[in-house]
Amino acid sequence: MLFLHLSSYRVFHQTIARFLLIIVLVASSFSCTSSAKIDDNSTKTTVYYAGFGFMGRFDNIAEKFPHAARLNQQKGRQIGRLTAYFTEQLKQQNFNNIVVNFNSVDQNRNRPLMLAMSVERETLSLDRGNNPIVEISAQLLFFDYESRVLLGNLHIPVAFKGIKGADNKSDIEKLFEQAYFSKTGLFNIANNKLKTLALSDFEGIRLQVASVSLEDGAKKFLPQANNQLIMEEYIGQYASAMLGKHKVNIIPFSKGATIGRQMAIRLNDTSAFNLVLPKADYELDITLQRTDLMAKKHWNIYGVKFDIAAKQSFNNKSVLNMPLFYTSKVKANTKEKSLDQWAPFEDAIESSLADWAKQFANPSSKWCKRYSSGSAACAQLKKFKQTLSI
Amino acid sequence: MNIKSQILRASLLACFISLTVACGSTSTPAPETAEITDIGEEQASVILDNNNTIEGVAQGKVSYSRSLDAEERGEALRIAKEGLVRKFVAQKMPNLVRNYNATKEEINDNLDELLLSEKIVSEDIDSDNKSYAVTVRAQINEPALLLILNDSDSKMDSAEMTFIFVAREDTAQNLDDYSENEKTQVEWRAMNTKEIDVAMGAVFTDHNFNVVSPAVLELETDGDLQVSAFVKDFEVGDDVSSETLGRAIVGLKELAPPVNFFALGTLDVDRSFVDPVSGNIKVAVSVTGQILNVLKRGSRVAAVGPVQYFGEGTTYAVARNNALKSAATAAAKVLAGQARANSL
Repeated sequence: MLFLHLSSYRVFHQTIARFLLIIVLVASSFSCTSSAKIDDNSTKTTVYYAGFGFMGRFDNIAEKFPHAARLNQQKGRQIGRLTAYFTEQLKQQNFNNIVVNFNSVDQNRNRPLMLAMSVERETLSLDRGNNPIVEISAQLLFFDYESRVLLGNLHIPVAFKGIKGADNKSDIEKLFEQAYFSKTGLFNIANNKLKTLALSDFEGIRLQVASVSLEDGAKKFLPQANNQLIMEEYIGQYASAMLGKHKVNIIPFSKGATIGRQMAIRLNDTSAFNLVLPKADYELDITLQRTDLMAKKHWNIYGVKFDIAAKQSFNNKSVLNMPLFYTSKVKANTKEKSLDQWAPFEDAIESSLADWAKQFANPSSKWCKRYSSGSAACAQLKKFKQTLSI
Repeated sequence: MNIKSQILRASLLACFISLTVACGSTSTPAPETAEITDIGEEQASVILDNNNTIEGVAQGKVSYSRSLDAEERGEALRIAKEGLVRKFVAQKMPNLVRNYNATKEEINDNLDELLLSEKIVSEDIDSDNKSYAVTVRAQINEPALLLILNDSDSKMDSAEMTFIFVAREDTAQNLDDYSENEKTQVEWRAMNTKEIDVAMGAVFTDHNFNVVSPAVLELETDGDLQVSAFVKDFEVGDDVSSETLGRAIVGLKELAPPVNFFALGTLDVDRSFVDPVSGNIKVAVSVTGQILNVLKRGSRVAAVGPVQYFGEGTTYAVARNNALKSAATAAAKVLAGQARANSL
């Protein structure tokens, strides 16, 4: 009995000694790892720089991005101004989780990864107060060098507002200049996003806006200049951007720029290629069913109604089916230009989709009751949020 | 059908295919004709990505008795993962189906290494019918899978082989050449492409063939095997003359030790066209080939084609080389797999 007791005592001491040794080893290895992380690039993911470019068919880039094309011109230089600026900015930065390599791709490396930035949309419009608004929508794209399969994307929207009446050519050019190059412009925002971005951010369940459609009831106020295809593309891109803000792993929507699951990219100074979009795990169908205007003496009420559905791509199983209503009350302005009658609807569309996307971060019963089908919509949203692991 | 309309049809077909398949050097999706013995659990359903990704989604389903436990969940996941690898082999590597059957146990024991970036997409519990289904998305670790599949080849004896594949282009510049010059038959111009030799040689070596250069064998057979004779024959038609082939087979057989297998074929470069989306140049290459067993009087043990592959690039030369490399690699994989399965 005494022997047993002594032996247990020894085992106990040995266990404590081992435990302390493990703590010392773990502590030392931990401190080594954390100090090494500061300067050691070996812990970071290497991505090769592919360049700056445009999304869409190769033959309509000048028509689709006239301002970017103008800004990109640089007398006597082969490399465009936008590419040169973005490249220089990337070279000056030290990112937490990635290292950008500017050399040619090392093809012996296991699955080299590429980084590119691509502009998907640039628009010029007037707000309700007749102030010019410049909007740029771009994507940071990470893709596999060999298969050209997109591994992750980060949407970067930029909007700049000019002062009322400043809508002549040179004023607009200045606004676009700011939208690209200023401290709050596209390139600086992209650089800031890259500081903390890790490729593991893109490992979640994939969602994609698969289709956007406008029913007849949604077209009655749509101006000629803002045709249906452009509006559908805009809604798809905007909804995707809003979902991306709330940690949803969203694949770009690029109606008009895709054939099947290929998305054409034309890099500014090199080649054009088709990026292969990964297959989404879940697909969203957005239908704008109605746009309605109720005109009062001093106020106009603008209403939009959507139907939003989601299904699992593998078996088409429905996981979400909800209506979305939104109204915005706007003071009647008799001096408004005719072109701007659509602007309040566009604001309502944006607000409704932005609020809807926000529910993925925190579904609110109050919101569901006011803007959708109440508890039924909320239950679906909560379950879908759980499925998407966000 | 005259030659002009045949070519026009081929060009239209090439344009159509280019719009429906993925970019880069790709092929039309392989038809799922291979048979895998012991399909096993019917509960597994799988969808593979038809783009050039190596990804798939699979669902495994099990019935449970009282309440669903971890073991039953694990079983459903195993069914899904096994189904995913099985479908991948059947659809993308039909030439290796026999190897799959021979190594299935090893493959199923190593699913964690063979499937990467695994993600559970959904879990569904049907409490009325007492069934549980799990859907998983994963990437296939193709090199690791090939290592196991080809390992069954390495357990077989290595066999000596040589090959002559001729890349050729139509000498006519355009369709009018056929009407203006009253041409009725395609005239080919052979091209010198080292990429084909390198690409095919690598595949045959992977399948445990000991590849001998035909240039060396020309000397060893005292000219019975003559590369230039094959090139000349393929410039005027799709077949090799009986004299050229007969002399080569006899010459290879008489060597000590003899060269067991002789692979031969053509890679025909079609006219280029501009990809409507990217603006890049695309070229289609059609490949046809066979492997003959020298020791059995040149009987055919494997055949492929004609199958079309595409290459894309900023210049014609880049696009053509990409297409040739892609076609050569894919054809060699099919031929080597069939030859191993049929004769070794």
